[in-house]
Amino acid sequence: MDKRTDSDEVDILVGGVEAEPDALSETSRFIAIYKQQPAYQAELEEAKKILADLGIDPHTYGMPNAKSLLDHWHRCIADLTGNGAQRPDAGHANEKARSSE
Amino acid sequence: VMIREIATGKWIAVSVEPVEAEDVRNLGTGWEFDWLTEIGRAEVFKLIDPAAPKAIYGLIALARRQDHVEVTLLESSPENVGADKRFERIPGCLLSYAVRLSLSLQFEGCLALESKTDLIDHYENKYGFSRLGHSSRMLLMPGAAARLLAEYEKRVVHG
Repeated sequence: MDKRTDSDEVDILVGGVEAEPDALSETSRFIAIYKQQPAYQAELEEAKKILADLGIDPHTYGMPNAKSLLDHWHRCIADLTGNGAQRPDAGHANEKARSSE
Repeated sequence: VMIREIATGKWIAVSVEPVEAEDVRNLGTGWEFDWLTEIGRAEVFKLIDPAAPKAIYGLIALARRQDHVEVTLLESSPENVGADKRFERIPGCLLSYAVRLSLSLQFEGCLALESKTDLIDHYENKYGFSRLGHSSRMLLMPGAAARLLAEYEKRVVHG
């Protein structure tokens, strides 16, 4: 595989790597410590400025209600497992999240 | 978000949307992972061209954790891997969407994923992930997450 790091020529994929048993707790621990660092607030401010420059709404960050995504997921699983009664209806299509330009 | 056709340099506006059951049933062959199984474990989203929505250019599976979003699977479509792939930027566009979901959940853009050993440098250098100790776990923190969004959601005015 091409391993150049300055282009998309590397075929990125995620999956097939088993997480350590404590991966989730270690991640949460890292995030908690990271947020306590003195430079964290400055990083957040920089991030907010970048987002503002992109025109991303700070309240929704350009996403509709994340809850509707969960609802869609559950209906999709119900459909795949044969529970047709829970198929998404046409009206739901308007609620779906979209990230486009 | 936009992907680029390698042969022509043409930019294509694409969107990321939650998959439908029909998408997963009709994925076709050549995909590395079992997405039908994955959708039972994580939310799955597809990268498509709205003008030709039947073609799926890439898939990403996302799990909501307590304080971050985890990328459990990510894969470009079979025709978009290898030396002859048609489009580039597919993984970055999918990661950009994961950042958006993380932001909307008030996780400030934080992402985590498990990386194959030979991709760790790439995640660090190209996308801004940080490695958790000496593990295979990679984290994207708020500053790098915002920069990733800026890179993949910027509007291309030429090309």
